[in-house]
Amino acid sequence: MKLNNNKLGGALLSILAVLLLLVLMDLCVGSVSSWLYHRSKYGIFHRQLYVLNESNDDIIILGSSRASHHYVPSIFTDSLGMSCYNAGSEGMCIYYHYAMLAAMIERGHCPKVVIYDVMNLDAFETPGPTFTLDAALDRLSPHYGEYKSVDSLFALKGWKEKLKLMSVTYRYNSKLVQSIKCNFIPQQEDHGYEKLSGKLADTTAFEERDYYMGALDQEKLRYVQKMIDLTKRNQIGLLFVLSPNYYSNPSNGYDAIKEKAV
Amino acid sequence: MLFNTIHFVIFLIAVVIVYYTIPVNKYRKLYLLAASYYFYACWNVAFLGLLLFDTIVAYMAGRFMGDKEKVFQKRVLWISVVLILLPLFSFKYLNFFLAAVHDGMTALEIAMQVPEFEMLLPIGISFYTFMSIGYVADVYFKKIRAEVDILDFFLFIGFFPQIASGPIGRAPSMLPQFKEKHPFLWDNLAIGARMMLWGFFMKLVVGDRAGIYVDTVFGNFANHNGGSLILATFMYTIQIYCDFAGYSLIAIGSARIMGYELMANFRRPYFATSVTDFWRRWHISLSTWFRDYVYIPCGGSRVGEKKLYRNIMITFLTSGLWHGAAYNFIVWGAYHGIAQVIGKMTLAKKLATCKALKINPEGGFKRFFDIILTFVIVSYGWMIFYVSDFRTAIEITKGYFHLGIPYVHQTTLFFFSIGFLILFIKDFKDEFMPEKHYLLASRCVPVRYVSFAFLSVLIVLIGVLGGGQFIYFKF
Repeated sequence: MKLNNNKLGGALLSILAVLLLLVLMDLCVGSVSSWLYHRSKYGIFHRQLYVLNESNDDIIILGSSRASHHYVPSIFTDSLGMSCYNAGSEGMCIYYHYAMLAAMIERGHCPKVVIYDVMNLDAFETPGPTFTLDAALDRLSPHYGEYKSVDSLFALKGWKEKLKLMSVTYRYNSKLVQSIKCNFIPQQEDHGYEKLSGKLADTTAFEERDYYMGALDQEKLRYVQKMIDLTKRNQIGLLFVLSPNYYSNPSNGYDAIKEKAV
Repeated sequence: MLFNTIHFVIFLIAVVIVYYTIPVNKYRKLYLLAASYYFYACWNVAFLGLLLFDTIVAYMAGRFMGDKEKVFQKRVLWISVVLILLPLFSFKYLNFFLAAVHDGMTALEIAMQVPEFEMLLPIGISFYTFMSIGYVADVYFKKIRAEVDILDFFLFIGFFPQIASGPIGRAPSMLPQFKEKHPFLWDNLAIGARMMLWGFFMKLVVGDRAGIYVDTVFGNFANHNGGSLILATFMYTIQIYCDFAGYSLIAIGSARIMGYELMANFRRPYFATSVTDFWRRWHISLSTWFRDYVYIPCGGSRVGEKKLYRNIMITFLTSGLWHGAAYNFIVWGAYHGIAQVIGKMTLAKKLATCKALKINPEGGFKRFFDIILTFVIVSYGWMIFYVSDFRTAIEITKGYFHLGIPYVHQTTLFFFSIGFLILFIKDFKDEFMPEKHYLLASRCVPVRYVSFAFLSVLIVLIGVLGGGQFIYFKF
């Protein structure tokens, strides 16, 4: 029987057929992506999976690349006799770190100490692709539906984001290359710490900078407060650390975080 | 409301469903007009006033011209053109004009202070301004009778698929379409949806992905070697094509779903064999607008050689200025004008060289060479278009000669390569084998459906899904 697609009935059947194909393909591609992601043995995905699903470490280090490249867990373990994991992640800010810690606690593990390497980008509005809520959601999307604390972050984007997350493939958007790397390309790490190699230029010198007034992001500051409250509630020692830099970096961003921390 | 957002997809579905349930064409058009103004107001409600101003001026100008004598019509034409251009000039060019006056005075060592106005550029103003002027000119040149139906006219200017970034519609082809009621046709839905899907693919998978690399390299050009700068230039060439052509396809597809046919805006521009050919394939609605309302009124090609070159330069200088209120856009326009003038000047020599070297001027080798050469010329022009000042353009040009291994961002380049390969294969097929029908255009229904579903999932898997801005939004 030939469908007369110019009649509404035929058109609706054709639309249904395409939608069904879409759903099936989405499920197939999404399932393969999920399988690949969840068996990650190296790199950022493995570290994220470890922190969310397995870590029972006493000390957790959070922060951006500044944390992941500069805090050596084995030194903490050696000095303090406590297990330590570096959960720092490039380009991530307070949203991501709060969700990671809250999900870990939700799973049933409360670390004894959390060391948060803080940056003023944890308080400022940032126009770029990093240090934003979108960056955090993109990284955490494979875990949507697993932890309430992760889901609450997605809720900040409203119903449109929930609609998009109905697609299994969407959760693994742009992650294919990273998933392959995290499965097949061994990367050196020491309990999450990613060593950087190289040498600072001989001309590197300390630079005195003026006080910087940036536009504060109130939502980020709210999440700084949420992290403080979360650690207090669960009797976790929280240390905000301002890493040494080759420049002075006074700003209203740091001051806003210091105000909450004190 | 950007095209590549869930908000727009839901809006379009709602508009289309209600549109086809309204039985009377007059009410359909009223509904479409309301939807179009809602679409425009989502950016900024205040700017709706400017759209209405241009629409009313153009409509009234057409009505005033009527069957009056030519002298009166000419007066109405010029007054209406000035009035229509007023908002565009004020919002887009005033600051640039004042800065240029200041620069001129400074060069003459005359001290002068000029005010600077902080103004948001209304979305689509360059497009609907040109549509309005085009209409008034068409009435004057008797290409169309003045539109009497106010609803049809308002819809012509404000139609939501084209209002933000074109294509720049022409009254003779569009207004008659609003007169007839369009029944639901599966073919329109299928073709429109395919166009939109391909538009999303171009924009999200290829254009936006290239943009990540381009912004990274050009944003920090001093720290990148020639290899990276050349690769970024190439990727920007692809990005701007995919961004704009993708957007146009989404616009054309949206209109087609409702039964309206907008003009094609791109025809595989990077297969052009000369800069002149490039402008027959790139932003066709704009290039034909400039041809019909600037180039031809100046005399076109029916003049002596010197005047022909003058007409080309006038057309491309104003085209450059249309693209942006900054010196680099004017330079970019001049660059294209000069390239075409040189092309015309050297045509005879090129043919003589081909004859001497026994190369067939219509042959594949010559065509391949011309395509590559045109691509390189156009790509360099896009670099000038991208940067905000001459110094940066000069520094980047110098940087091209410090060759080295390009900066590689694996995820970006891998996904871009997949998208670019698919795009290249499709455009190559359309250019050289237009009679063949594969995948999305296959004559076999299951193949079409599977291709549609696969491309959709591919967009979701490797597209940049984050509501990025369209480059041409600046206009």
